[in-house]
Amino acid sequence: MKRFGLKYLYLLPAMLVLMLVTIYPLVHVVALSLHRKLLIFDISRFVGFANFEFMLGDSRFWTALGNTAYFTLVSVALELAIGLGIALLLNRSFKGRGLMRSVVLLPWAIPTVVSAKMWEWIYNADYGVLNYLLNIDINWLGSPAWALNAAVLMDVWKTTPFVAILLLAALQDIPDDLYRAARVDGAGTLKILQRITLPMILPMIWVVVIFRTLDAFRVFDAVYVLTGGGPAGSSETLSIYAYNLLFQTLQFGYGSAVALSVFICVGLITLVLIRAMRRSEW
Amino acid sequence: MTRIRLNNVSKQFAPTTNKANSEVIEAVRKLSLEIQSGEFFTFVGPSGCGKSTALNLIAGLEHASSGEILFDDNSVSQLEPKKRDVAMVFQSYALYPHLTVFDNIAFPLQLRKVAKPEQRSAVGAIASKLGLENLLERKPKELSGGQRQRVALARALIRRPRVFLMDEPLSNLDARLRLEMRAVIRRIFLEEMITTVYVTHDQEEAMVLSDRLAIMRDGEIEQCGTPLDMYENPRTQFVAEFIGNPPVNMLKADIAARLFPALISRIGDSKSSVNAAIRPNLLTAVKAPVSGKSSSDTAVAKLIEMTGPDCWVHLDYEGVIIRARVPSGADISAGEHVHLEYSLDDFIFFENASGLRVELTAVEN
Amino acid sequence: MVKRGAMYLLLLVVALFCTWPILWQFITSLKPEAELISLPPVLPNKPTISHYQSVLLESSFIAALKNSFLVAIFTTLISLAFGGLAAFALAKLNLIGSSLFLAAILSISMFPPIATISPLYVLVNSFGLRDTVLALVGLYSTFSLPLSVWILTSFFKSVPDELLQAARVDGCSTFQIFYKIMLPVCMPGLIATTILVFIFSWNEFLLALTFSVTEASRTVPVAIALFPGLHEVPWGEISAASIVVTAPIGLLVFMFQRKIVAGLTAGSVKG
Repeated sequence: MKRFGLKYLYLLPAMLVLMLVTIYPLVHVVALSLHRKLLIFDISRFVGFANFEFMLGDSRFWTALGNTAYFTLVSVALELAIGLGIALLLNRSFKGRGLMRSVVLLPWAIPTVVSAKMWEWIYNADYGVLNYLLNIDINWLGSPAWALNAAVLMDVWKTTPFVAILLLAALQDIPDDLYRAARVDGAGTLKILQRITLPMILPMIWVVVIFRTLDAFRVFDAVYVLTGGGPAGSSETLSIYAYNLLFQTLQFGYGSAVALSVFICVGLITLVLIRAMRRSEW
Repeated sequence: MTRIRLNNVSKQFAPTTNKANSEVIEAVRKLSLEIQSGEFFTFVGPSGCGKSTALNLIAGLEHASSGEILFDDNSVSQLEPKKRDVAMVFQSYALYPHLTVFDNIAFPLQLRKVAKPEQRSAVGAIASKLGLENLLERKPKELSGGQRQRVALARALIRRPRVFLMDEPLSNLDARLRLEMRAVIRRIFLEEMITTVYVTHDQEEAMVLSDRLAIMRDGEIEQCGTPLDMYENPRTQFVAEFIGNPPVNMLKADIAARLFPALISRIGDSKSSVNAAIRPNLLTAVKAPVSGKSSSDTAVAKLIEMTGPDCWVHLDYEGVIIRARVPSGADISAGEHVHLEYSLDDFIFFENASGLRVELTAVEN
Repeated sequence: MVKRGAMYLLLLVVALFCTWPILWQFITSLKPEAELISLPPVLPNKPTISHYQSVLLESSFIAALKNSFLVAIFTTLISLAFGGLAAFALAKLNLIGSSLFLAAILSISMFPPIATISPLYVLVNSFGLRDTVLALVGLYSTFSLPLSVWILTSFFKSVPDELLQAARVDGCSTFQIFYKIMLPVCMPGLIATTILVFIFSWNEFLLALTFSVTEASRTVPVAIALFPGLHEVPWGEISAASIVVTAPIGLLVFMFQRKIVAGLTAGSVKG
């Protein structure tokens, strides 16, 4: 039937580019990860799972994995908490709500590189405004103890607005009658928050948690520009490690294996989070 | 003028993929009927009976799973709507929100590349017929419900289609506008004389508008005929109960025989297998029986409904509710015991198991 | 009244939290060289526009701005065209397996670009497209495609079926329904998607860093990250450059705040 096939043509352009630029590379990266491939020496040899075996004994890999997990966990937790607070605040009625929403969207919209540069200057050990305002003397980006936390703080500033805006949208979908009914039934502010508001926006909270977790786990530009992964690898994330392997030391085989590990981790996290979401009730 | 014929038309819908327990749904089953050219024909029935699917099949929005649809003896089964030359009015009006009223009405002409001046004169003519002259520059969201419905009618009429289709066009209007638009639709139909197929769930609307109507149930036609025929000679219990407002009184034969003693002569031995039906307007509630007329046992008045010209009473007899007319001047109030005057010939009977009409003639006791 | 006052105070705190790094960057961009390396004063004593002048006279930065605009505009066009067609089919043409396809698209949008960057590097090189604007447009179009498809599908789904049936009866072909009815009716959704895709390609860094080698294809984020400094880090100029690239985005945010929120929400709510 002519009618039947024709409508699939609409999908064709999208399918083709997705095949070429995502599906095919995904297959290819698996192949690369099974090779020892050094671009400069023009070496390419099938080595099976040797790259992965090496990875398991690579302490720099484990440090990067730990850094990535720490970055993800702390930043998502903080973003959710602060974002929820901002969303609840913006959900009240006040003059200039549109303007306020624009202001809140700003950090999310500006280029990550720009925000990393901004914060690099703010964190500057000698002339940085943060040390000046807090009247302390911390080498934020230069000390292994602080660098990763500095990156977390910047990410919280940059991405909390995204969380707040999505939660706000969910809050605004709660019908007013529900609040009125709860009040008539005798619920106080806290009880309403606990029994009405939070359960009603729970689905959106899950969406936000999943989006943000996956996004934070693959973090590259924010940390790469802010700290470069240093000092001494103390803020190196998995994406940065993979990038350095691929494009600084040009180890395409091992680099692809590490890059693939990011993919595998993201996949596992997705599965776990979606299972948790299905089971969750407030 | 176009004659429409449906031969054994069926339509199945594939089960929706994301529901585990869904089966193939047969929305329309072996539908055969003929709609005369220049006729106003209505499909009426409860929701889910297949009436809208039947309309979509005629429009070409759905394609029949089996069977054939003919316009003037030419099969259109495989044709897309645009090739069938049909026009349609929808329940939600389906006006294009981004176009002005003028462009909405002219849209079918623009698609057919009709010249601009002709478009203008055609839109002008149809707009004046429907009282839309002053609204042509507005967007649909600036119109009232009744105005939107007129624009939808104008858009459907502008290219004088072979067949005019309407899917619940009045359901979104309030009661008053509905009566007004009903008259507009009938007037337009009489002026244009285009074969019209109409779908509604409202039996009164169907009765008032149609030359003929088909009552549908579970994908099949229960009965097809003129409004009066359907009202007076329902072939099934379903049709009898569907048509008429207030609804027909449908009584189990044993109760009917106790309440209306004269019925015994008709019902005889079939007490457990038939139902007796009588329209409320054929029952008159009176305080005391008048000699010379058949009169019932007493029942208790529960509720009086005054609708203006008519007054109805709901009576309780052995736990069954019976509706009857209260003649003007009769002062009946709730709680009173009343009798019902009736005529034996006004009763009709249906077989319990099949729901089919049965003729019961007088039996000698 | 006290409660209302407290609310406005909190709002002020939130507004400051969101804007102060940008404000500080703006202040920095106006400070003469000497004042950059001393605190206090917080505000410049002698504000200067010299940093802006030197940034905007720098030919490499202008080239980067031009590249960024080119990449963002063409990416947006392609992503919307391909995404729009696919979304139309997924939302309204009753395709078998459309929900599966949508789920696949969503998971593609979730996967980390780093995972496929090495094969993409090989691919782009083999086409001889390394260090070209074209390579970035191609890659960005694909990487933003899931976003376009997802958001547009949710907008298209909200158009009532009766409207499309009316168009078919009036004589539209399927493709006419798409461009005569669907696109104009969903204009707000198209605008929202346009803005989100534009912001994505304006801001993207990892792919740009990997595939642009010289000024020929370098975009603004890469230019800022690799800002040339002879001796010291030129903070004044970096600040000025940052403000320059933030300005168009800031403008979009203030003009289309409602549309952006609508787009973000449509993209996150699962059908």
